[in-house]
Amino acid sequence: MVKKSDFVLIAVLVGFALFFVYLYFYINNTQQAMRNYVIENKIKHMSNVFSHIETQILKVKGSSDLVTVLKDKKVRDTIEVQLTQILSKNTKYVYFLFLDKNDKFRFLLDGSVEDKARFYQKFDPLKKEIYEDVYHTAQVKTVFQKNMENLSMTILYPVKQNGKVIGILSMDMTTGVQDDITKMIEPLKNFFVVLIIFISLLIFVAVIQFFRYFKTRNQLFHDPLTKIFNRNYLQEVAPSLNLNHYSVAMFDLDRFKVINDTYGHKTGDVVLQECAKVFKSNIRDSDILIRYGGEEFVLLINKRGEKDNSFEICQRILEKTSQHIIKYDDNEITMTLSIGLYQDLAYESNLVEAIKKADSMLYLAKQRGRDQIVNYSKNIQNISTSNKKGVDDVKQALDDDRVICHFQPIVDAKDLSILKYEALVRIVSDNSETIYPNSFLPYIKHTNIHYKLTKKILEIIFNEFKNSDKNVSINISFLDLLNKDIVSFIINNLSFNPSFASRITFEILESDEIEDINIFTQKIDILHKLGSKIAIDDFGSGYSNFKAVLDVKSDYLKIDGSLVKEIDSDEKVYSVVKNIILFAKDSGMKTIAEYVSSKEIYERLKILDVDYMQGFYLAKPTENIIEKIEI
Amino acid sequence: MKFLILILLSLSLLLGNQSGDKLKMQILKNICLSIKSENKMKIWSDDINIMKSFKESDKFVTVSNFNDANFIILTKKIAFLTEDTDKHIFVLNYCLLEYIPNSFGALFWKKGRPNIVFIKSRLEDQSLILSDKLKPYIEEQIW
Repeated sequence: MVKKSDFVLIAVLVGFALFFVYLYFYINNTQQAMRNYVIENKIKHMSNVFSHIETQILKVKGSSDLVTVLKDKKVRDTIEVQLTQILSKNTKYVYFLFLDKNDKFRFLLDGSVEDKARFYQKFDPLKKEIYEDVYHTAQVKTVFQKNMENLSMTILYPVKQNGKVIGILSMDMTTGVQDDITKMIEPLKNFFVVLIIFISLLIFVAVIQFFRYFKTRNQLFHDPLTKIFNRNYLQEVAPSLNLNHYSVAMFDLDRFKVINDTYGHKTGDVVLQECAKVFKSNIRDSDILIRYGGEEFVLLINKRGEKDNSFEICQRILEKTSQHIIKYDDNEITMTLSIGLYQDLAYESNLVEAIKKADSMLYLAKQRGRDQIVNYSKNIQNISTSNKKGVDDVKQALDDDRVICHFQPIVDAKDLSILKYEALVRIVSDNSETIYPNSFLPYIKHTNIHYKLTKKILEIIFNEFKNSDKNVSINISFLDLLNKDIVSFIINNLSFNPSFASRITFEILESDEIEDINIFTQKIDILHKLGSKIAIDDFGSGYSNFKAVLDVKSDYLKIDGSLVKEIDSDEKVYSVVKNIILFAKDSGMKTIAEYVSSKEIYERLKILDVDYMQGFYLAKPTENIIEKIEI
Repeated sequence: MKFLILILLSLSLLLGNQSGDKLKMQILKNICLSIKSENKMKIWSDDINIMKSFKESDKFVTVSNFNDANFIILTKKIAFLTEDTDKHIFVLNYCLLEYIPNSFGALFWKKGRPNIVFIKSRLEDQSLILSDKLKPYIEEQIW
């Protein structure tokens, strides 16, 4: 989830902050070192000066008693003048101390300008032991002062005669030197303090951003309804996923639309949430469950250990889902699941291709009656491969604008006048061969390409017939009518052109996809309201439903070609067709017989009083519109 | 940044001054506790801060009227002080030892350090006895 660069950025910022903290302390130490250096130099320098004054004191003292000699103010003045010369901005007091027999320090000389001491006045120094130590060791000492006016340090210089200390020259230094050093260093320190604060703020902001980023990513990668990962997450992890370690399963809740339409979308949401919970409770932490869209889920099953138990996991989910009773608003709902499983991801170049395979298996599971798992295997590999090829071919044809329509006339059985033309889709191959729909339509069913193709066909037909006076019949599936884009496209093109709309017949094939007759009639109503006509295609075989035909108020009933082609050879078929025609007439619908491929069929249909006919015997589908029928 | 440094400096100076005053009070109190006199010590000072500090302590008796006091702490020479007074006078300036003949001791700052001086003859005259720890500060005379 977290990119390496995010951590690197934080690490770099922390590194910088630590570096600047180090620099700050380094400068502090440097400041201390500079201070010590200055002090050492000062001591060195003062020792020379004090040495000169020591000579003076010893000179006036001679062999006499020191106190007695210095009692003389004139003598004191002479030496104090020299002491006063030592005073500077940073040197506040200079004086000469003497330790009397009672171990009291007394001023004998004071070169200070301010706070001048009297001769022989007692002096109580702080850290007296250091002063006494100077007396005993005869070595120069320094006393660092703290919280004492503005004094920072005192230099004690022993005045010796014959190796014996007779007094201490003392110099009190102000904090000036320290202040000077601080002044020198302070801007640099301040710079680093500002820099550390700035970097700290930057780290703080980065950390805040880091957490916000996590939160946003979390929202970005989770489906708010089911709280499981969404498709964005799949895109995020796909490049870094080791396909060798995963199987992919595509789940689809069977007849979920019926739930939405029957109980409402709120119930549909609850069903999705509940099912997601069931899925989650039956997978492991290492598996990745993704809501792929609508009622579709993708499960990336981590293949742990030597045995791949992806199928068992799918089986468990399938069973648990069908056993789970979802209670909502006094309703008890059970759901079933269709699963497409693909385990050999290592053979795929990327996850998208693997998901396509699982999706094609899901499609097969749906085709085979739902509530089952279809596992990709060698046996169905060929189907899958051709599926892929079919999808790719159509996609390419759409991109290259190689989709065309042929038009076959539907003629009046009585006078062979052309009622309308049925538009039939064709693809022109790379080598200019015409590819018929049975070669590609089965493979693109349920794919987005199917919708794109339908839209393309509608475009072609609308352009061809918009400005003519001819009628046209368009094949459209129930699934197409469920697609909002396609419905919008039809409405946009026909709602403002009722004359054109009235020349269009939509041929709808009854199929198992019509799960809810109410929705089916609603969609047909839209087309009716536009002024278009409806034909029920291939009636008489497959999913023929008399009630549905009546409900949608169809204008035409197209008798299935499989019946028509046997009408001259099979009396039972003849009877069925006869009854269909009777049913249509009684219900106010016109009948169209397709697959009229011979004179015999044509003649028999005439006897049955079919309204319209269509077939190779009358006219083949052609790219250009046939104006007249010649038998 | 400069503002921050200025605030810190002011604060440290303020604290520094406070610690100087505190030290002075502490020494003064120690001195008072280390002096034995015939009568119970009733303290008065011309410094309001000293009075306040002594009042806060239950070890001392302070009086607000100079006349009621027998132990005076002075920062300067005051007009109504007579030379024949029988009050014990402790000063906070070395020079005041000269100006006030009755003053028996002083606490003052010399070269930035606190210094204490007691004049032996005056202690004896006033029958004041110092504890042993104050004895090193006794001087024979004012220098």
